[in-house]
Amino acid sequence: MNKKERYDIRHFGARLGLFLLLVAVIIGFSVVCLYKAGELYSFSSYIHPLQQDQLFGLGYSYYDKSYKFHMANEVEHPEVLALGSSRIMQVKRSIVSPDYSFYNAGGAIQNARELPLFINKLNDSPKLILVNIDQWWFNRAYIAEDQPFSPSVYDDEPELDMSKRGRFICDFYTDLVKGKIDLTKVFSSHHIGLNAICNENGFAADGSRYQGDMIISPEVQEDYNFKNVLARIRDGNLRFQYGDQTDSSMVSVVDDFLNQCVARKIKVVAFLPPFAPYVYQRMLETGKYGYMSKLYDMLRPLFDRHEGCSLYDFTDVTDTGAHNYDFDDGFHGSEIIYNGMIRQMVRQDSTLVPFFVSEPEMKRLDSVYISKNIRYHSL
Amino acid sequence: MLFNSLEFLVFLPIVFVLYWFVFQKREWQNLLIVTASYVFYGWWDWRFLFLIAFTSICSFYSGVLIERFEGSKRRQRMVCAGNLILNFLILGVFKYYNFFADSLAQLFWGLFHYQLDWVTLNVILPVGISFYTFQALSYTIDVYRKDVPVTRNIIEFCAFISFFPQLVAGPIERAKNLLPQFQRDRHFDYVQAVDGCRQMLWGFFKKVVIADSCAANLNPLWNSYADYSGVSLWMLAFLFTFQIYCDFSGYSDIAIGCSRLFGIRLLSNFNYPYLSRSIPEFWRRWHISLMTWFRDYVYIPLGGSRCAQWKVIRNTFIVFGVSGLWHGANWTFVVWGLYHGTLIVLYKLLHINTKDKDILAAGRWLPSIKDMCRVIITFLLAVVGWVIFRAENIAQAWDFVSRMFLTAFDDFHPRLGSISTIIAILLLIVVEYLQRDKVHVLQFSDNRLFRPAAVRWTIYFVLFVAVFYYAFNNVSQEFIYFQF
Repeated sequence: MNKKERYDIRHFGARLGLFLLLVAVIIGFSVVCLYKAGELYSFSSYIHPLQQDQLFGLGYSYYDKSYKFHMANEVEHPEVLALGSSRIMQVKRSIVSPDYSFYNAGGAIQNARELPLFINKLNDSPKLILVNIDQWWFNRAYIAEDQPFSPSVYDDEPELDMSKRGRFICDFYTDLVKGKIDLTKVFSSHHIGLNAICNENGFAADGSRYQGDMIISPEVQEDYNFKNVLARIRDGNLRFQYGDQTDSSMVSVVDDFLNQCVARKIKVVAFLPPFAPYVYQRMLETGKYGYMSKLYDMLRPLFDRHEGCSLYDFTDVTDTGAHNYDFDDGFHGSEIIYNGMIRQMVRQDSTLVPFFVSEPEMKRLDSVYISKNIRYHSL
Repeated sequence: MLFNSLEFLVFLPIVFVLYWFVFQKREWQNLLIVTASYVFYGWWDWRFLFLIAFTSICSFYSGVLIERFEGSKRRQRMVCAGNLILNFLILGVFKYYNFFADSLAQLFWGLFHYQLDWVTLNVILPVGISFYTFQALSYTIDVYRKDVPVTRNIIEFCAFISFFPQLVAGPIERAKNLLPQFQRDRHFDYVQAVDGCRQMLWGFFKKVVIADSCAANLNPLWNSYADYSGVSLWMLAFLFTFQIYCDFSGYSDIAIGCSRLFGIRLLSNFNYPYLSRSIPEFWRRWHISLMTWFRDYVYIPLGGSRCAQWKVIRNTFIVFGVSGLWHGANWTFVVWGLYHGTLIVLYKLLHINTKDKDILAAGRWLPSIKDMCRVIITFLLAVVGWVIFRAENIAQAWDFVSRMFLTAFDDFHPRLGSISTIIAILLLIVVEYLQRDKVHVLQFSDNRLFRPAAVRWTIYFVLFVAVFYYAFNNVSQEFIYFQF
């Protein structure tokens, strides 16, 4: 290589290097932000106890099932375990007796078949499992359309590959341009994940869900005044598929779950979770959710057959005086709704008394909630 | 290894540094190219490296033998024919066996209701087999014709056959152009290297931003085409028209640009084909290296255009039928080839001017109304051809095309063509038109508007960011022409 060539190639390298440096600065900045926000860690590094006021809410990854399972199994080892879908995430540590350790693994289960799988993989046996049984898990139409199931769901640890990391960078800049990301919060917050940092939305140390964005500005939420859920009811989709028939094969799945719990001496308190009264009324008016009315009668004998297991039906909470505005959305009650449900269960079953705080304490928790004057809807 | 993969992002700089800084002697550089090319290809499936090596060795020694049998035309012809048969045999087994066996089995079932399933095997198609086989064939024929001298250096020859930028999807190089470049010392050329990077960037933009976006819009809907009517079907066809162009020409741009980094100049493969004023002109601008191959080794030996009109028609159909079959083992490709052959014959019979050699609207901003109409008609004819090309089978092609013309133009599927994809396509059309006299569209340093470095760098940067963004947001698609 002669002198000119050597100069040329250096010149070329320098120009290319300068260009790539600019690119690296852009990519590097997003990587630093994402890293600081906790979005780029390996999954295993998330599996540790959170600080008392810390939230875990990733913006670009969805690890709910694995996160909750590994937290319950490897970190928290709870004596009282709240288990199920997002419709139990509102049960908080404060309602459980301080004598028992508690963890809310809501989000770990997305269909009935995952219940026996979860309990089978769980090393320690809790004393009490409070579990929600979503109504649509038994709707034949929903099962046919919507239910993904992998038997290895709790074995695998999710991995972040390069392609996903690259996509995060793109998403980061898209959200930054849209004003969804506040960089000062990214560098000052101790929460994990952009959703927790920017929206105050994530899992608390006890595993329960905290939705700060919903409290701050409920009117901009997707399901404000239940418009999203009502659209689902109108279209008969996204969990609200119409159906008259229950799927009896799912009964044997629940039976398997209960058998395992009884064998491990775990007390099970299950419930059919509530809908907002306004939403439930609209569902009844359609006359297309016949399966729901059959559900309790179908499952109740099953629970009766298993010692220490009981089932409650809170599908319709109109009688309890629940307000529409106390629901996060059409099918997620807020903390006060769940506290009310638990109070009712404790009243009906005295064996539950030791597991929860006293009735006056429950009332105090309610008054604290009421004093915040939170209204999720204007209905 | 795909050009649009992270592996290639690591592979290319390593080979570049080794090539210019470590292996500075020509012989070592050639050896590095062969090694790098085999790594590049073997990344997909190392077993098929033996096939490339076998093709290379056979073609190399057939050249040596042809030279040795100087004076005995018969022996030379036998060696040449032997190598052609061998290569076609390999191509036939790996690429066409499934096709012919299935067709035979279907024929037997149709005629005699006899299940001929013992003839069907599942032979894997090696990536790029048609490209390197045709390259090897051209060498043997050229040596036989004495158009190129025989090489006695097998490393040089293997570098010619397996040069990684163009190994799996062309351009199909000729020994006359590429082999001498491996036989002389290469020098780093700053201007070439910089322009090569620009060409690669534009190639990546076409592939990742346009072609992959079109694919993302198109693929989920194509097979349910029967649910749509007029406008939506035309939109599907337009999307595929731009997908295949950006996919294939994008690959060629990356390959040519990448080669220039190593001081190697490849043949041009595309010359703004959608700005053609006639179908014959389209074929002078689309996949140039393949069409010139068929012209030189099939069309002209058959008599070309200098013979009776019926023979010209026959030759045209043969070339386009075979070129269709080259694209893949499916009758749709053959019909697509024959469709274009028919159009070319019609152009000839109707004495429509097809001799446009200059660029569209040379020296003017806008083309004449007549040229504009000709470009649009040519484009629409090409679009119909691409529907046949993309269809799963002849029945689907016929049904799709019929529906394009016969169903009402009253619906438009909202998922067809996202706004960003349509903007990217429009951008492509505008910049290609503005830069139609350049080798690639990023050659704009002679334009006063783009002379300031800040302007050019901003453009490069925006393109780079777009490529990066789409690379991670679209599902990465293999290059369509890999299957050929």
